[in-house]
Amino acid sequence: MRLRGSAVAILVGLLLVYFLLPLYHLVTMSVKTDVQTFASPPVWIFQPVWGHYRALLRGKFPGFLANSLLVSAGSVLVTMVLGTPAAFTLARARFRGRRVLLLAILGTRMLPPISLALPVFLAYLQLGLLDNRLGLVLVFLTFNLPLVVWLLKGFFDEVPDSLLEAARMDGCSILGTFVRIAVPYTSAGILACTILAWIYAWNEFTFTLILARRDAVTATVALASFFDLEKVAWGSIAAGSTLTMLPVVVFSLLGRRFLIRGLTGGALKE
Amino acid sequence: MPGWRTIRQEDAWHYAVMLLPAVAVLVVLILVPLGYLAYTSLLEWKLTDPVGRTFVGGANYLRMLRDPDFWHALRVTAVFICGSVGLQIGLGLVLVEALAALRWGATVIRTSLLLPMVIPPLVVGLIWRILYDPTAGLANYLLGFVGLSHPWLADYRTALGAVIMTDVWEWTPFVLLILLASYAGIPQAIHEAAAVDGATRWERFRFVTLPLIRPMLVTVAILRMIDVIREFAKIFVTTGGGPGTTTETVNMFTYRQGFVYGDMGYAATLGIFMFLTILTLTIGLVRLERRLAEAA
Repeated sequence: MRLRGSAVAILVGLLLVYFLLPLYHLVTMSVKTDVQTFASPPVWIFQPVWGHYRALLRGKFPGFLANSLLVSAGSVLVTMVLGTPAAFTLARARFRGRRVLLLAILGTRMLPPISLALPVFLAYLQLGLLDNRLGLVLVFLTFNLPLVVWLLKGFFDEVPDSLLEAARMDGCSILGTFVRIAVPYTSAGILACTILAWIYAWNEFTFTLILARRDAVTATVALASFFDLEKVAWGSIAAGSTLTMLPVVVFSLLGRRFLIRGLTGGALKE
Repeated sequence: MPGWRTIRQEDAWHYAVMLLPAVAVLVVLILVPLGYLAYTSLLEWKLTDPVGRTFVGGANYLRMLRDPDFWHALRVTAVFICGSVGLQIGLGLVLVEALAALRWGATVIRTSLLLPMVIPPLVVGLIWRILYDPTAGLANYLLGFVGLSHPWLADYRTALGAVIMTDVWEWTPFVLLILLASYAGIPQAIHEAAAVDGATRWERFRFVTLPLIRPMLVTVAILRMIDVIREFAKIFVTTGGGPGTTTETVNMFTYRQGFVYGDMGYAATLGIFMFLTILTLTIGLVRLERRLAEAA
């Protein structure tokens, strides 16, 4: 017995409604008036109003978005500069302890943030790095560097040996084969890893909540504090959430094909 | 370093320059803090206490084992894992059966599935807090048609289930996408042979598909378990662990001890517990992967 076409169509329809309606509800809420937001039954057709965005962008929110941008871009830059050559070495060099090192890196990828946040909080207290963007850039390396090394090692494993050997014959050093052969060959994978690492950094919440107070607060943590206000500002929350998720949506659609592999933490393929 | 001897001297130098900075950063940012976490777990150290720190050995660990709030948090975590991972895998299996044969619209569906899991987890929490809201939310309006309107997050009987549903929304796509990939790897001929032998749809699923995808299912379940144990943003923004402590997982409990009460010693002990739990699961995952690689 096969499921008939119409049954499948209904199921697919329900599926799309289930996954997309909450997003639609959020985005439309950001361009509704408060009266429309609380209307029951819900208003489906309305003239969008941009007041929530205007109010939000006149306040402190652009500063929080700027923090998100600076911290995520900074940490991704350091991650890629450190992680790409390390991944190449782990893919190509045979040395004692390589396997243990690889497993340790996979293990660090899975660490619960709270276990690191506590000692890092105490250390930053001493070092004066609390509520500091540089402090966040450093701590974001703890989850992104293992991720990128692990994923990129997989991409570098796929570079044909013959390509690298030919370069060595022509007098290329190891560094030379890395820069001239391996990096160009895996550029699509490197780009996908960059996007993924950036998404993780942009979305980060636990570390930032614990380590930032005022000056270094990013968009995600700022959004969580919107509920502390006496009267919940639904329009601002919806507008702020939409602005915060918009860049992630754009970038993940661009890097869609590689994201599944990345989101599994690379654990599904050694 | 003796391990490098197998490689030519100059090559070894190049490899070292490429690898060691990353390793050094990971040691400083991860191993050193973990060591400090272990040390802190042996101290009586409250940030509010002017006396400062005193060494108490394993007292914090004994306190943890005797603390009913810890056991409660552990139970909440267990329920969260079972509910969330169970529903995701169940839903994933039902949906993949329907979608695997789908010829049209696959790209649109896969792209839509990607959205819940890439947007910030905090925004996922916010979306559901809005949806669940008795006045502004859509959930109660829709459920009102079947007489189920309810303050889902505020009622202690439904809060945990409501939070679990946010996780189901966020991560069912992940399970589904992985299942779609493993379904694609099953040769059509096996199914056709089973059909010819008169196997029903259920029998084909039970005796053909399930054995083939079971290793993948276990892997996905462990990955999801690890993520649920680390879950923070969605709980924080929907219920904050409440009402009371009904949605307080071990992770939230650790956060409260450390950063609400400032009890560094006890929070560090809980942090070590979290670390060891996840380490055990990760080792299990690696073992499983290795067995799969050998079997293949």
